[in-house]
Amino acid sequence: MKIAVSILVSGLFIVTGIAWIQRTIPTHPIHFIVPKGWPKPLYDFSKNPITKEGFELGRKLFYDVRLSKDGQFSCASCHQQFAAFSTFDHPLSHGFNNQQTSRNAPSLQNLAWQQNFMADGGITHLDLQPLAPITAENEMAETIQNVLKKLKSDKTYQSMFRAAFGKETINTQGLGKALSQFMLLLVSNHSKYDKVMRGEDSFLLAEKLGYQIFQTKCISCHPAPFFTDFQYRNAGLPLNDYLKDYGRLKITNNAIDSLLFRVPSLRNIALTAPYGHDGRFTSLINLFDHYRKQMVLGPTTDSLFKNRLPLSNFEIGQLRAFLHTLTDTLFTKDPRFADPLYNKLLDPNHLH
Amino acid sequence: MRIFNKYMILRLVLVCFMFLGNKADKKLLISFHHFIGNQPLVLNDTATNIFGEKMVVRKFKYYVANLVIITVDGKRQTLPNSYFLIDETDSLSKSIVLPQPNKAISSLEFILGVDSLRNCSGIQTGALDPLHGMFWTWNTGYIFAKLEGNAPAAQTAANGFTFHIGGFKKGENAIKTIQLPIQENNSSKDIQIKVDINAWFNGKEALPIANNPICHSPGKLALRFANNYAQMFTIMKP
Repeated sequence: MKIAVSILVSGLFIVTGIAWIQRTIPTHPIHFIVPKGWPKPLYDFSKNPITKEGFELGRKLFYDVRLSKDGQFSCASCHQQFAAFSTFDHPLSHGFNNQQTSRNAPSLQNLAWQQNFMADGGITHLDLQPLAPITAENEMAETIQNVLKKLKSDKTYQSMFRAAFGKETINTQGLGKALSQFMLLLVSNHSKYDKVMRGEDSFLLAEKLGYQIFQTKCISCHPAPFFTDFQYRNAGLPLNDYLKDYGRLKITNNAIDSLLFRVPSLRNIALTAPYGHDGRFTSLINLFDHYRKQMVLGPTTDSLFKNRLPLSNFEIGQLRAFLHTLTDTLFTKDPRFADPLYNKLLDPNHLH
Repeated sequence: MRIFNKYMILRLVLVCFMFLGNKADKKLLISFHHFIGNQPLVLNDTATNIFGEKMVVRKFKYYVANLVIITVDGKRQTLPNSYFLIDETDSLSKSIVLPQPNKAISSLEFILGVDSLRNCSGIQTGALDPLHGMFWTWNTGYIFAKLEGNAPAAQTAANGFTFHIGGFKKGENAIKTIQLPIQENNSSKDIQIKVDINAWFNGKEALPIANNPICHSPGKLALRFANNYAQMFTIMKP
């Protein structure tokens, strides 16, 4: 009898224990809102549904310098919110051991509608994108194993991974999915341009004229709502002898792709200088001068630029005014996307 | 009365394990044995390849996926979504244990590499986790097979040779289907596969280390190496 009871009790004990370990903690879904008139996102949310828990985990990871080898660089080091998640005022960004990146850090916005990543389109899934800067020797220079080791030894991450994905395992997939959840919500659609289109605001005269010029001269490569067609084009930027970056060619090994780079989005352009895939244009004026005068026409230069892009001084002025309407300060100041530690500092409960 | 008897819990756990152990009784063991010619591969040891090039192999690993066991009655028993990373540094990885088919096996089929679907669907887990170093982070896709080492013939820094072979897109598809017929007198419980690294250098064509010490991306050279190493497998005589 004694034995039977003790078997029963220990059995119950084990079953309860297993059930406790396996229990699913409810997550809080976040509905991804597609702005009115925008196309269907390309990201497959069914494989990685966004939750409050996953988003907050991704946000913590995005701002965590431990993702780098020497603890000096987080994703946010090169993707700064106030610069629409590009690197403010840097042609190239800083990386491990006083090195520089080989390309200008792009702004991070509206990523749910983008299929391929990097200026050469080499990365085909948003979840995979963070692995490149984490492991690149001139960026964060860390191994995936070490990153996971650091996360696994941290109690906060243990509970955050469990809350987000319902299991103890901290693995590469969870890392990528959490970071995607954070990045997917980086939607910029509250610029003055957007408000004008929604009838909530109106353009000043210069902006209106600039918009008209934009529609005749720029829109074929930079169509709304993303202000990029996501295609690869050679806009007449000659090869930099030091970087020797042939762009899309590196991915396709096809000569017709030599010096082709993805058309960048113009959203928040006033915040993302310098410009060009290697940041060679320090200001918008430099950029306009390139298009109208300095463009080098080579065998792969886009056919749209057969006659370069003639722009008068007057047109440049109006275009500038219009491009500034693409700045979305609601996005660059959105507290949801800020460093979680920074938010805590602002919390009145923490002010003494 | 003592409620928590620690021996009782131990016994219960043991019974559970015995139960699990009984389930998979009939097993088929497929093992991979790495050679350079007729010399068993020893990592970090000097060896000579088919062209007489002295070399030290430091890393040798490759993906075996989507196994199919074909029995004498022509039936194909497929193991979809089965991915194995065979790694010389991990002796456990060099054996695959499968349930034994009812009939004698006439041939074995698998792909050397990772099917395109898995290359395109985000971060995978298990053998396909990118942390195994068999993934190009800058140019999405798996490295199907990796052979690294040093050879005086390699005109590179530290005389290193590094072959990272992969590619799944049109025009650079390096996925190889391997078919290995099994002799009648072979055991259907224990299949031993000889893997000869010399095939990398002299399979379909001659690719000595001296000519091409480095291949790090999908493309023409990767395809030539894949065509070569597709011939590295043979069934060992019992």
